[in-house]
Amino acid sequence: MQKKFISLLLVAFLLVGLLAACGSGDKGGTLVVGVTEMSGNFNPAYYSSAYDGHVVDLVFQSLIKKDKDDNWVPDAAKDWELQENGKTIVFELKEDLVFSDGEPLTAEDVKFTYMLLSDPSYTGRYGSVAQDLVGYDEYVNGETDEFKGVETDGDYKVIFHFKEALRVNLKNCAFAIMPKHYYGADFEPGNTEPVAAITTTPVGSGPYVLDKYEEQQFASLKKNPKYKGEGYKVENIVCKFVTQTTDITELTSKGIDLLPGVIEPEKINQARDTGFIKENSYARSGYGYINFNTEYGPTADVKVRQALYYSFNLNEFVESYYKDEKSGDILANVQYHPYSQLSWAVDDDFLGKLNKYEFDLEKAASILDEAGWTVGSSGYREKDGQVLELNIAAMPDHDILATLIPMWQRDWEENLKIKLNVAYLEFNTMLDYVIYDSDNNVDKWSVFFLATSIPTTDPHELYPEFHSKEIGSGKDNTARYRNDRVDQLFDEGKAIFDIEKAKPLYQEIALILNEEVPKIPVYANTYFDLYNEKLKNFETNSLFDWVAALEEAYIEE
Amino acid sequence: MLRFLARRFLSLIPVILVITIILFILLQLMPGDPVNAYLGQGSKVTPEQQERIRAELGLDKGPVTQYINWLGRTLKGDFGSSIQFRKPVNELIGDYIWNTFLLNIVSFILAFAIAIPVGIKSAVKKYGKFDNFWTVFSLVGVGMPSFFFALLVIFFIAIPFGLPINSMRDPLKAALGYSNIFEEIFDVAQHMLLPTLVLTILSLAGLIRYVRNSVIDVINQDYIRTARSKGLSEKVVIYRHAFRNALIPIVTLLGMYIPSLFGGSILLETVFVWPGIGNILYSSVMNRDIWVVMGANTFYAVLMILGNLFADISYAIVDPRVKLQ
Repeated sequence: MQKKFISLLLVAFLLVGLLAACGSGDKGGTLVVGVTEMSGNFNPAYYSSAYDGHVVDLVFQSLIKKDKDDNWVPDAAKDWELQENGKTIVFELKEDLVFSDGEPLTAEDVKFTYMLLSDPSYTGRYGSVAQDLVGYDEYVNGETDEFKGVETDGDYKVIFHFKEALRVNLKNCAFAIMPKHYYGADFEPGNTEPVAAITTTPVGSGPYVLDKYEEQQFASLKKNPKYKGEGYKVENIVCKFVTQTTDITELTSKGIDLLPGVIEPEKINQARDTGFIKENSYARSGYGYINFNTEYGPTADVKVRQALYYSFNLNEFVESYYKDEKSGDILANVQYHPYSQLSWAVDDDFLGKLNKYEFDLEKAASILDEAGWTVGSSGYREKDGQVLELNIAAMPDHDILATLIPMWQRDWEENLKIKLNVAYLEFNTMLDYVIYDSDNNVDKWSVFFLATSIPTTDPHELYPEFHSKEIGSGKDNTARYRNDRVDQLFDEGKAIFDIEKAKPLYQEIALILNEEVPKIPVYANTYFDLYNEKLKNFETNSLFDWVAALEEAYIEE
Repeated sequence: MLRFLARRFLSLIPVILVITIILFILLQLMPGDPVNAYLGQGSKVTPEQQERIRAELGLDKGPVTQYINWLGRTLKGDFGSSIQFRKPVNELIGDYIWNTFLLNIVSFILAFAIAIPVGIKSAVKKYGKFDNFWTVFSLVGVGMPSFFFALLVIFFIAIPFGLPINSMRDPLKAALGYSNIFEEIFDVAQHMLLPTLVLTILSLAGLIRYVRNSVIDVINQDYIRTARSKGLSEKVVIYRHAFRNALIPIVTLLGMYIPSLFGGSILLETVFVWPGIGNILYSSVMNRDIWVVMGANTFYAVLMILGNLFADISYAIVDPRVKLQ
């Protein structure tokens, strides 16, 4: 009996000790984050600036969210179940959740959110989240008033019905939950305008509430007292407007505490010199790339694309452009597959199989010779009377292109005798050429440069860029690349839920693309989150941004 | 006078119409479109969804129809809505315009208060040391790009002295609430210091030259010689006779300054992250936010024309030789 009492006492002491330990990190405090742009549109269904998105992420909850290791974990849902191989997903909601105005969060709110995204009058940019739901097409075209995609069963059960069983369905269930009583107060199907008009006064169930927003000055958030989840120990978060020219000065003079996503070596060195600024650095999930026109002109010939790859000195570029003179570090690396470096489709064995196209001008020349592109009377390579010329759609005042183009002129034009025509186009004009009005401009370009960020480890994210169904004006297969095997692998891969089983399919796709070169990834640069040392336990990576990392972080002055 | 005013107002209407038409044509010729700019890269919105969004926002119609719709709405006082901010354009302009006005009115008053005495003194002692100093000052001021000057001020004045380098308020104080109104005024004043300094110096440069030259013109007139030969003191000659006549061109300048009080400077507002209309206009042009650009520019056009009208009228008041007909 006494023994039992003593052991109970011990347990009690231990518990108290544990609680005290937790408490010691619970210091509250204020974190000032530097942001360079914010439109003040904090409506989850309508915002478009990434900085507005940070506020949305802090204010709203979704059914599920990603943890640091890229696993789905519960947020507003306590549990979920895949039925019919994942065609139907059933979520059980936590029952004690309330929005910051005190109203309970129920299944109706989830349904309302998806009805809004599917509404015929919806003008926001998140329609793709709902488009795979059953009945989406009929509903959005106004053919029926019956919304079948999301069904409720009581207050705390939501059922998503998808058209097909896809691995990516789960991600589409993770949209911010918007309270129906607030955003939907004046909404009726067919008239979403009242919902769009709520911009600077968001109400959600997330860890923070927006306290004050001064246009173009700051957004200040404070801890939501009604938030039921754990973590988020920082009491106040202020997102302060800064400019690219002075942001680092603000950080070193303690005007701000956190500056995420810095890439310039000078800024990083300035921060290092202070001694009180810490850094998280990580490889970008995404890359700058060049795309070839695989449908029209000489780049339609796969041999030409391979020769261009062999004669493009990627390492020289990365080592000169991304070298930090002070530390000697190269703040970027080169990759030979189209996925995120963090993707689960990438492993060492796979990386070993990829052709690295070591810089070799002679090999490039012999590939062109063999393919029939030989130097003709014009002084350039020709084949059947067609001159090997590339129309490069470039952007003016672009530092990276200003480094790449002279390299191409040296290796492609002077050495390999390929004629280069560089056209400088304003950014939006170029997007018109290669994306928005691409069907009418297919004969105008052979090569362009852009950069992309890949927000997920799922390689299926790259589907729109390589599947032949996605060729056309406004669609994302800008290389206009067609390969039946790639189409087939993507179509099969998206339905496989076990990533270990899906992996070989995506690796095969990457190997085909590596061979056929519709696109050359040029660099994946290193990002730095710079922050004041008072912020502790702050761990970010390229897929786990500062907002997500705040769950575990705390401030110690 | 009233008939003159009425006639002038009537003649302004076609001018404004033509301006809006030119503006609209320029916006149509600009590459890119508002919906694509709003959606951005990688939004995964299908072409069908894009078409629906365009139709909902009235952007699927031909340019003539769009312009007529815009004109009809605008006449009723509705400038349309921003696609980026999802706010009515009127509200958007209203939110930012006063910040711009505050910054500009202060430097406007400062600039005139300094330029007039300096200009007169320079004119009276033409080619003296004082005049030469301000001539060099003006030439440098006129030649200096505003954003470059702003950066110089930030790095050589603000940082060493620990002055706030951007924004309008200290976000920490503003977020937690000011204890009293004076604290807020002091905070805003502190943040205004740099942009006001830059704006004042830049407008001083031109103004001083203007005042100086117009006083010099007047000093060479016959009636000044008459006044002097009557034995009036130099003070009376300059301030009573010469300066009042020199005011005429300065009043024109005043009229021209009115629109810039609200227009502000896009570059300076961007460098100092001042939450003004210039900042919004810049981001709206980049985002092809068509109705904001149309609304704000039409607003400027109207201001500019009213400024001219104001100059005309004040001309008649200051100079009895000018008759309003």
